[in-house]
Amino acid sequence: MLDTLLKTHRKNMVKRMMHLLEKMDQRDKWQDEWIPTTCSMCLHHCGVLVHVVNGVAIKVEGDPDNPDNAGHNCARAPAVLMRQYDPLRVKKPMIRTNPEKGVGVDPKWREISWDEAWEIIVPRLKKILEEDPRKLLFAATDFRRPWIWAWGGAVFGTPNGFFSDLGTTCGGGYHPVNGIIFGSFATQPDWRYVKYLVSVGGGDGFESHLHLTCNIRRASEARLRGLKVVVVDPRMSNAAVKADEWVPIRPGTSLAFALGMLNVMLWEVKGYDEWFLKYRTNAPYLIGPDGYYLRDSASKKPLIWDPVDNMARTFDDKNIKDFALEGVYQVDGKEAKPAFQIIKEKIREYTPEWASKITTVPAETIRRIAKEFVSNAHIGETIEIDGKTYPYRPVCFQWYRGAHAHEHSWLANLAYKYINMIVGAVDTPGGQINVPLGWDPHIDAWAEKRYGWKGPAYNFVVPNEDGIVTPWIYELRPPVPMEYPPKHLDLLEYFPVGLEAGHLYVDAILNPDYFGIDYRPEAALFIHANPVWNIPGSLRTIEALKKLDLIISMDIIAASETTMMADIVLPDTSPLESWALLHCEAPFVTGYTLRRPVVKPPPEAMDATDFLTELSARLGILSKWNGFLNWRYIEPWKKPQYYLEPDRKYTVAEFLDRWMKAQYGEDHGLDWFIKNKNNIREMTPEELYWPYGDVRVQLYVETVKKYGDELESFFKRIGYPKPWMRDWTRDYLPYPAWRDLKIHNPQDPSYDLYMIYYKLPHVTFADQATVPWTSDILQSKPDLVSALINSETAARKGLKTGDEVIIESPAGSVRAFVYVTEAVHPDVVALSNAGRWVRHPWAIGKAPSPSILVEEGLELTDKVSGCPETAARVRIVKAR
Amino acid sequence: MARLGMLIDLKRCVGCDACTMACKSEHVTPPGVFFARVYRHFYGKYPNVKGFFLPVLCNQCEDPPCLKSCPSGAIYKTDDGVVLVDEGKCVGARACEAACPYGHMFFYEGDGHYFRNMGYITPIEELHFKYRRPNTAMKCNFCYHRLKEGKEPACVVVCPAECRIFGDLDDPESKPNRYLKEKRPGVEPIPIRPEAGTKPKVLYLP
Repeated sequence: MLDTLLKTHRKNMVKRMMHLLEKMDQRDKWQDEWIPTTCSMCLHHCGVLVHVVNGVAIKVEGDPDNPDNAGHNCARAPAVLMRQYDPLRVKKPMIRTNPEKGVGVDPKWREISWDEAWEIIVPRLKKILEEDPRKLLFAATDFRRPWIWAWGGAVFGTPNGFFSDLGTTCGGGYHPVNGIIFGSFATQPDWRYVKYLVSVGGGDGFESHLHLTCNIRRASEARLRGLKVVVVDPRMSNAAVKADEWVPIRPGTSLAFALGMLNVMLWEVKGYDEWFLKYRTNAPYLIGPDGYYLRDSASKKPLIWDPVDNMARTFDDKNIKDFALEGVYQVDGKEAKPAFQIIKEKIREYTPEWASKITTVPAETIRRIAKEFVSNAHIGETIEIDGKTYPYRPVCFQWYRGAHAHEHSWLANLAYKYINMIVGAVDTPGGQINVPLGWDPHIDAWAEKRYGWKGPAYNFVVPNEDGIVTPWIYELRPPVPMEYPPKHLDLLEYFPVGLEAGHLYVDAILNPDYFGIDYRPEAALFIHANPVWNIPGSLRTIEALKKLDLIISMDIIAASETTMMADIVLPDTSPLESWALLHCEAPFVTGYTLRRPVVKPPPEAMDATDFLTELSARLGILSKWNGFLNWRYIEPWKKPQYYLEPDRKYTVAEFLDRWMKAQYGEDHGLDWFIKNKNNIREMTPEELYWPYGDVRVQLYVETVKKYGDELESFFKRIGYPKPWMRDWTRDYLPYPAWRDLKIHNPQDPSYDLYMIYYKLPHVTFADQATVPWTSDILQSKPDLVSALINSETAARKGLKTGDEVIIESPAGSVRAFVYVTEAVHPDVVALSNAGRWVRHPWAIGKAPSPSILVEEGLELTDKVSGCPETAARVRIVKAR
Repeated sequence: MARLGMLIDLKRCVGCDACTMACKSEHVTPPGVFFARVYRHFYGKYPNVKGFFLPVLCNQCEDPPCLKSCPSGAIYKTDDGVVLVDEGKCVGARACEAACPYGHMFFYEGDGHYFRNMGYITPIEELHFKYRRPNTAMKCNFCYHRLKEGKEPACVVVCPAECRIFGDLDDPESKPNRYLKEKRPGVEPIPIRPEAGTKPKVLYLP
């Protein structure tokens, strides 16, 4: 018996010791690892490593294995950490208990269960789906999950799926110009070779836009190699600080600046690349009196004039000895001019002296910069790279939002594009490189079929029967037939070549008769969208939202100007908690990076993709959702084994795995990306520099004239039922022209200043401005959160730094603090995008929100691209 | 032993504040405290305005006035030239704050979490503040905890413009010396306010 007792005692002791050892062992199982994923604080998704300690993400750093950002990141990347643990993180569905809605009104959220949330959402949306899907407004323009953008339109069936407006801070007329002419989406200077850069109203390579982290590196290296930079901007932007020359300019006049440059290039110095114009554009195509190509009566091919044999020939005639770019000719009894002749004639009136009056830039400066641009273009020279010879044109005229986000966006973008095209500095070493939309498997599949290239996204360049790149218009949405009354709240029926005009939803809701809208929108579904903050005329956006019966907002933080108007808020996962495959969309490199969960989400959070899957199932449209995902991502590869089954619910990870396997192969699915992190590679010179082959692009954009004339015929046919139809097609021109803006001619002259707002390198999307670290940094620099006013202007108005003022426009008023500086144009009040008016402890309430001041409406919209006006006329009064 | 220092090529810097944010997130400093930060200066009269960005951080002086001023001997220099504060010895006299001619010494009063007015501390701040003594001095330490792991300081690694070059100023093959030879030959690196006499080891290339 003692024996047994001893044996048991020993066994227990051993057991206790084993237990103790196990506990000590567990103490060392302290999670401390760096997990690769992507940043998601802008559109470009740098590869990053996140340091996770015991389930807490504590640091973000660039992944040195990612050829894109090469181990670096920008000021926005670490902000994801403090947003992750924000006390206002949405953890559960919540409903509003305060029926009142408005600026600064507390919704008084009450947490509910998902079951209750579905009970509120599903019957309401089902009713709309059955009665009239148009009554649902949708905005999910979330670049970290591009597949959800189209749910509203392609799955639910509402035409109103873009209630956030891409023109305000994004592409406006820029994408149509690049898509129509080059089958591309964006642009970037060829940093490796460019020697002279004119940067207008944008921040590429310095503070904003395309792939900041990657392009800062490239631009800095270029500057050390001797790149000369001229920045044209109403304020001394960060780019202007680094530039060799800052050219201050009156807001909304960069188009005039460009026309002045073109005038000098075409008329004074004759600085154009004849070879490029003759062989790579439709500049030599003969234009008839009706403004269209003159065509051979037999073959219907466009004609050119051969000045050697003195006759008209079809553009592809093997016997062509030369192409006439100028002159007037008679062909079949019709007067014919080469397109270039017409363009030259149109530019003639836009002298630097003319431009100077509008821009306030001295005529001599415009003239000098144009001449510098031409001489630095080295027209006629070539360069050898990797054994191949390319035209060497180390100049680039680069622009973005400040230069084009105005009523004349199409015409402005076209003028800017012209400056590069005239000297042949496009898609060639040193020039402006066209950047395709990175994340379109249709392009990838087409590129693979046409060029044998696996994977890299590539411009959709298909020559048509006229030998010209087929315009790629429907980059972000399908074509919409012209009809009346309009189904789209943004009148997309009348923007045949436009992007979208989401800001017009507001007018359509507030004044449906004016638009001819015959239905009343009832509900809105927003996913990480903030139209109230983004769209011009915030106060009217709020009024429009008040008219909706149900607003659903899925978001990460509950404090957003738009979410404050919601009836129900749903908990989204954060980028640290979800899966995605994201294209870097940078020039020079191409490929996808994997985003993977690094920490656990709040138990009730759902990824928006999974939410839409569940919602689709409950609405009975799951097969449509899977059908869309198939069509967009998997079907281009023609491998049916990976297609999503119509009625099965897939998680994001499952969908991504099938897509990647379809695109890259059975062994290249999610597991491959988990192991390898990304498949990014450098693009070869052959891919970057005019890879399109022997094809021409439109200098004379006949496409836009054609659509304009069609639209005009349509309006005429239906009898112009609305007054705004009369003047609509005025700007559908195949060449650039000057257009005065409403902001140049305010009805009330007491609005004596222009308000512009600029992007900080610290803030891309609204919810980054309330991240405490970001807010702290910005508040430590008073000028970034104040209204910048020129010293002379301030003296005239008796204002000094620190004065509290009220800035008023016809659209609204804001309070601000003055910061007097030399570094801004005298006609300008410059605001940053730091201002938020939400109930968050780190919202910089004293920084004004510019969208409140910008007037919005059909009259302030570019009728070609849909881009809204983004500057405003304001006056300043001292507060109190 | 090594004499660690940093070159900052001002031509490259674009004032993006990636370094400010990287440092803030590396050390989880309290509100208003920025070991690394970027100043911007304009000069001239409109329209002939010029400007530049100036990223700054503790100069890790060879003759540090903060060290000399400390009544409790809490500040010391390592063998490789990094100036550190021993929190255990710091009595909160704040003489070092006054002594530094550059404003790179900060004081941690305690409760340095960003949502303290809401009575909420994020798990990130909890992790970092757990062992941080209140009422002690704090400063840039060239990310000494990273150096020990063979990593460079956070501000160096993050910079998209690659304007910070870190290494042993005495080693002719170190990154700073190679950078001077290969990328900016003939350019003399200069410290800020050399007249203060502290012999900074952070040097700038104009």
